[in-house]
This record gives sequence, C-alpha cells and structure tokens, in this order.
Amino acid sequence: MSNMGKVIVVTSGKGGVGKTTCTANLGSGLAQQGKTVVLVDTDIGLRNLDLVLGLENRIVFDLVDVIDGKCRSFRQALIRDKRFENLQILASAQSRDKDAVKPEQMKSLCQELKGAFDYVLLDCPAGIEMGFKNAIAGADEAIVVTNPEVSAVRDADRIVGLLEAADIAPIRLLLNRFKPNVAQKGQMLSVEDVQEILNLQLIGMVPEDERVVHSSNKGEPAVLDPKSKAGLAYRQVVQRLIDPGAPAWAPEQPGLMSKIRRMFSVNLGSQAN
Amino acid sequence: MTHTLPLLDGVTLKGTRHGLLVCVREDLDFELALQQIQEKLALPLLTQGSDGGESGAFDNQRISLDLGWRELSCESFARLKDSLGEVELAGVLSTSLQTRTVAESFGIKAIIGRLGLAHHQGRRLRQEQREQEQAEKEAPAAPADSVAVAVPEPAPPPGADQEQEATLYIKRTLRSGQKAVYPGNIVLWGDLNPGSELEAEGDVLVLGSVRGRIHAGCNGNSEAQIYCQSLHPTVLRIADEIWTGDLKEAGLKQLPAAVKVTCAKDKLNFEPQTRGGS
Repeated sequence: MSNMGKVIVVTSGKGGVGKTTCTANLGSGLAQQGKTVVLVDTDIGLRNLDLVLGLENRIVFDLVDVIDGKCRSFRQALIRDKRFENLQILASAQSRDKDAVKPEQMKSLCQELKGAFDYVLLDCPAGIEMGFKNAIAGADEAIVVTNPEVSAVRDADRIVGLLEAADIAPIRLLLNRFKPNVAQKGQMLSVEDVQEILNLQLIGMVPEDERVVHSSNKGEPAVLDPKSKAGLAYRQVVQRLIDPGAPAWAPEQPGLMSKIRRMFSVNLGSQAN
Repeated sequence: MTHTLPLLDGVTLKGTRHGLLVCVREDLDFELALQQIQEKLALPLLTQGSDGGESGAFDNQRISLDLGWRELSCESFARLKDSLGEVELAGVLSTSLQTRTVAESFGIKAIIGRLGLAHHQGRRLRQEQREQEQAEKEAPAAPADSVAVAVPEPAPPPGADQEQEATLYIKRTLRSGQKAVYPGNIVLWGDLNPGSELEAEGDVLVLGSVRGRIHAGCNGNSEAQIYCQSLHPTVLRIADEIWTGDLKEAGLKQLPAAVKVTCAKDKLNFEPQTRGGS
C-alpha cells in the first residue's frame, strides 16, 4: 500500500467557489515539489480544468473515452502539462453528460491511477447529483472548498455530510477567496463563524486575489506566481498536503485568529514592497 | 445505541402494499443479521398470493429492506446485497442518511423512514407506559394553570429503573440535509446544523447548538418537550404549534443558554433553564 498514491477529491457543493482553480493550483504546486500528479476533471459536459492550465488544444481523448475503452489505456488520454513533466491531466468530455460514467467505473479508474501517481486530484462538479457521486466514488480523501459566505458554507456542510457517509476521511477545509480585512471588520464570515458550522480540519486559507482570475485566464496557475499572495497560500496548502504535520491552523488552537492575521499581515507587507 | 424495544426476532418479514418488507432490527449483530436474512428468505414459505406470487421461495422476487437507524458502510451494504442472492432488492428504508446514501450509490432506491415491527412495538410500549403512569399518578399531567410550582422536572428524561420510552441516541453532528426521524425520543449529542432536521414523536434533547429544525411530538403529541443547550433562531415545532425564531413571540429578551420548550394552551412556552444549585 505504501507505494499507492492518494486520491483526493476537491469538492464544494456550491458552484463558483474555486474548485477548478484550487485543483489546478494544488496539482501544479505538488508537481513543483517533485510529486507525480494526475488531475482528473470529473465535470463531464462542462470541462474547464484544461483551460485553467492552458491545455485545451492538446486534448485528444477524454475521461469518457477511457471509461468506454476507446483508447488503449488511460495513459493514452493523459495530457502532459506544459511546465511540469510529472503533472498530467485527464480532461472530461464536453459533449457527453454526467450519466456517461458510473460510480463503479470511476472507482476502478481511480484504483488504476493511484497505482501510477503519488497524487490523484479529482475536480468535482458542483451539486450533489450523479456527477458528485461519480467524483467521490473512488476518493480516499476530500478537500472541501468554501467561500466565507452563508450559502457556500451551507452547501459545504451538506457535502461534508455526504462525504462522511461515504467513508471518506480525512475531510479538510480550504477557505477560498477570504478577505482578512473585511472579516476583521465583521462584514464577512470569519474563520470561527465558518468553523462553528463545519468544524473541519483547516488545510488553508486562500485570500482573494485579482491575480488568480488573471492567471487562470492566461492558463498559468497562480501557485507558480511568486508575487501572488494567493499563490503563497496555495504553496502552504501543498506543504500541508505532503506533510500533514506541517504547521496547520488547527481550529481548536487558542489565538488562532491572531496567528493567521499575523501571517497575512506579513504576506501583505511583502506584497506592498 | 441504547433502546428498549423488546423484539422477539431480529429479522421479520412483513407484507406491504408494495411487496415484502424485511425488517432488520438495529441492535442485531450484522453477521447474525445476514445469517437470519438468508435463513428467512431461504425458507420455502408460501407467499400469501395477493399479487399472484406463486413461487414457493422468494427467489427472483423483489423485496425491500427496513434497516432502521443502522449505519452501513459500502462494504457492509455490498455484503448485505450479496446475501440476498437471487432476491432482487427493490428499495431500502432507513432513518440513517449514511445507509441511504450508500444504498443510492448502489443504485437502490432509498427512502427515509422506519416502518418495521419496532415502530408498532415502540408505540405500544409507550402507550402502556402512559397508561401505567396515569394509573399511578392520577393524571396531574395538564400544566394548564400557570401556577409557579417550583418543582420543574429535570430536563433530560430521568434515567429511572422503570421502562423508558424508546429513545434514539445520535452521537454526532447532524449536517445540512440530514434528517433523523424516530417514533420515540431523540437525544442528539452534537450540533444540529442549519438545514438539518429532527423529527420525533416524543421529546427532543439536543446537547450541541441548535441551528436546524426540530419537530417534537410530530404525531400530534402536544405533551412532547424540546430541551436545547444552545438555541439559535430556527423553526421549532411541538405537535402543531410552530415557532419561527422570533424572540418576542417566545417572550424572551435574548436566547438563553439553555431552554426548555413545552406546548401549552396552543402556544409554545419557553422556559429558560438557569444553572441553580442541584
């Protein structure tokens, strides 16, 4: 088992919170750290993980082709990233829908993939229907992405319930598009507010950063941008994925907020210069 | 999981409008349950041919399973499904979200609920208990007069030696979309997150923070009570009376640390519980 990789599903329930961006960034970050990584876009019919990585034109075969056996093996459908040799993606089909794949098929595909890679990151579609069931079928662990908004947190809570029921553990929380200054003024949900409902292990907080949208549009993940503060946050999440013992923001820890604030203020300071 | 349902058999078969329902008692060991299900279904019973079922055994027939609040993992469910052999599993009835989710992942229809023998047993048990209590205490139950009698019962049900009403203990947090339905009392050792629901025919006691909905006495039992340690504005119901989180309506200035909610005179009564000396 030791040489088997980990299958981690990146999910959120609500759409637009940044699942795909997270998947692309964490994948690139892990690859930067020398891990072999495959990103699987399970959002069949609405594919866009390839866009965020700037790989759209390289797609020949997709997830449904692999499942239907239209290519020799999954390897034929993998697309190598421009920047990292050890990062590959398996794009989803654009002209099919979620019913084209069954949970058992995803499960066996994930089994195959985790034999060949250190990390298998699954980009989950929004919602809790078939696409979600497919995406979590083969997952060992989960990262729940949420924004500090009531609706995103509510949907994340629903998702966590379903993940728990599917025996997926650990389930870790990534708070995305966080605005430390706004939260400090109490105009936005704080980490404590979010954790009061979700009560999950916090793997990271990614601050709102205009550069993320810009870099996604260019097809270059923010994690590789040394100037981006979101990129820095993603690199920290990557560290924590590789080594769970890396300093984490344990929600139980006293004085948590002050630590995070200090950290952010350092980041912001370095940004200003 | 403590409960006091004196059932004779771990696995019982019931004929319903929709076919045969196999009720599997929750406290029955899983291995034993598998064994008993197989034994029961292998019996060459003659079906009471209302739907024209003529075969002697249940092979190639459709059955439904009532799993109650038993929580099954994917592996357990697969084994359970395999143990049915030729018998087709048409649906699963369960109050456990986990079990329902797992069943659905196998492509089997899952419905919230618990129809098995236990239900009726629980009801009968409660009725007997009530009759017994009334006989003993000459029915002083009606709290109609607002006399300030300073002997409030301790809010959690007293762990008396006598037979208790069937109680479902949930030792985790209920998350959005999860719902527990039980024909007795419910004790929740965790939070009731927004978007989750508790529905009990008896009392409801929540030891975590309450942000989800509670319906106590959902069968019309207005004597049911709700006790919360940390209540947030939400929807509470006892029998047919509803509170929608309005503090004024509850006669409270602020939400107290602990509160007991009862139903009297067609109105919900909120009694803040202070931590007095015991």
